[in-house]
Amino acid sequence: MHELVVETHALTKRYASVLAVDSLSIQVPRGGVFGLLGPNGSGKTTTMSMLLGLVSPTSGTFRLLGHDTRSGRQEALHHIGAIVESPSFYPYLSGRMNLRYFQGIIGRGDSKDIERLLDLVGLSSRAHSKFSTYSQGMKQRLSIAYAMLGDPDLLFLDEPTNGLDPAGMAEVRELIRHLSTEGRTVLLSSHLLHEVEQVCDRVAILSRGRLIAQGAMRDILQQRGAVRFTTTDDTRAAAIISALPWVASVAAENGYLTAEAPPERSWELTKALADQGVSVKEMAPVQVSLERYFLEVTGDDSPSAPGEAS
Amino acid sequence: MIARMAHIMNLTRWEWYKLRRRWLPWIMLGVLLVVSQLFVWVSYSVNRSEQSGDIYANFTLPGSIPNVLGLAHSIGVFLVVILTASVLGTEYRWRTIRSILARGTGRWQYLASKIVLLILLAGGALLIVMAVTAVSSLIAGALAGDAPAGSSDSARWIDVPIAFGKAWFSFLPYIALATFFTVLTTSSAAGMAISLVYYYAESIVVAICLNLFTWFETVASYLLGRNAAALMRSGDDTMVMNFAIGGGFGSFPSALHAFLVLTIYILALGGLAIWLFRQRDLTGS
Repeated sequence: MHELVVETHALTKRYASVLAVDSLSIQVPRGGVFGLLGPNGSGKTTTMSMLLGLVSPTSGTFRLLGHDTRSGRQEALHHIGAIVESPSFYPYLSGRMNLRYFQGIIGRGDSKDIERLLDLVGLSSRAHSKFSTYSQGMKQRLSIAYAMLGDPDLLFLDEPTNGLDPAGMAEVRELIRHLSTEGRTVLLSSHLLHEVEQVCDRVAILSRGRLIAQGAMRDILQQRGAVRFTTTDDTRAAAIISALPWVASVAAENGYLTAEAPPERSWELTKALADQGVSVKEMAPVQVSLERYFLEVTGDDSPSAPGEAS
Repeated sequence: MIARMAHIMNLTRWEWYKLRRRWLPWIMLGVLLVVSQLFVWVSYSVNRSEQSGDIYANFTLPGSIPNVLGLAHSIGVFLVVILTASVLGTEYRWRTIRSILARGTGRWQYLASKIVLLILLAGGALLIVMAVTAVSSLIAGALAGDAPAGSSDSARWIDVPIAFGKAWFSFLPYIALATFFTVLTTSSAAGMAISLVYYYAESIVVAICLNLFTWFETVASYLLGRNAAALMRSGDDTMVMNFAIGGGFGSFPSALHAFLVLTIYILALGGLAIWLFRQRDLTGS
């Protein structure tokens, strides 16, 4: 069992009649990038806010970096860096001064760390400029530098590519991958399926405050995988395959049959067809996209296509 | 306990790091200095045309300092409310409060550090006003020459620290008031507006009601502004001019009464603000 850095049990937040987060139980193992995926209003930011102590849960419990949150939240938060929603800094201070201030209240690190972080996020040349003069991309990058202050073990990044152009998004995603090395864990919330698919190792999918699925990205997608093949007799093959209990559906398209079934069971498909005298001419696994998976599991919730603004 | 205090002082130090880079506190200090200098030099000018012992004491040491502190207090209340609401409310407006608390900064410690900074700034501003007034009083005294014949010698150096203490302490309930309303409304503008409306409305209501109802004097003796004015007017420094809003009507509570009532206001409003700040969800909207 992997060490868990975040563990929630039936975490719930209710605002008057609105149930923002509903009995959420997630487990985030140490290392890699864990995605919280869901459309706007699915409870991602509220979940992060509860974990960071900004919002009180209505019910439920959670542990951060092994600390019980009733007694050790402050201690845990000292080892967590976070961006929650939009970049929030003092507009009249420069980027460097903003980082210096936050470093001062965190109480760890020195001016060398600030220069290193400014360099890491590519802001060294504009570090002396006032935050109010920064572009959206520069603001997001400063947020990441802020989150990295004190060299935290766990990073919470809430929609870190919001408002960025495609080149900026690609840069930030690359940076996130880089940050997840050396045993650090990144908890990334996003409504961008493409982003989560590209960056995350594991994912929890939220819809209307509820957990729909969680696990390793590869396992989740393989659960909903498919096998595409062509045979010596596609009509008979379709009938044979449809009868198998672990095959969800079979469809004919562009001269191929597509069976919705786990790709690792494709040898069983081949065997079932061969037993009935049907030979397989060609067969290949088809990985379902996260977008298709998301649409299937969340019903009519509409996720954002790649690059779509929030 | 010592570790917590050290933590609050560290937060206070970093609050000052931010605040000293804003224009607002320096403009406010400038206003206080201009007003105090006007008082000294207008008194000096009046003395040139109409020689009077009382006027002479207004611009020469030690009498100038308690008078200037009284004036600085009446204007300072207005300024301290604006500064308090701004220092707290902008954290909500810029959403920086979420960035600060998300890194493990304790809520009550953070709010306490803001309050400590405002208290220190209020005292510091009064000290600067005193120092500048002392210098200008020396110059004005030298220019004016000897005191007019028959001048009373009622001004005493002991009145200087007493006036400073009273002026500084009388700021504290207004810092607490503005802190409470800003935390309650999560807005600089609303915190400022409600606190200032209270400040002026209280003096107007007291003035009207004291004329209409004799029993209102008891009620008035427990109001914030009334007690702040009572504290500023108290003592043997009878020559000190009264600039406090709410003064001049009915009889004022004693200094001890005023001190105790103001202490209760400070603790109650400050405590409520901290309690509210700790309870509140900090959502993004």
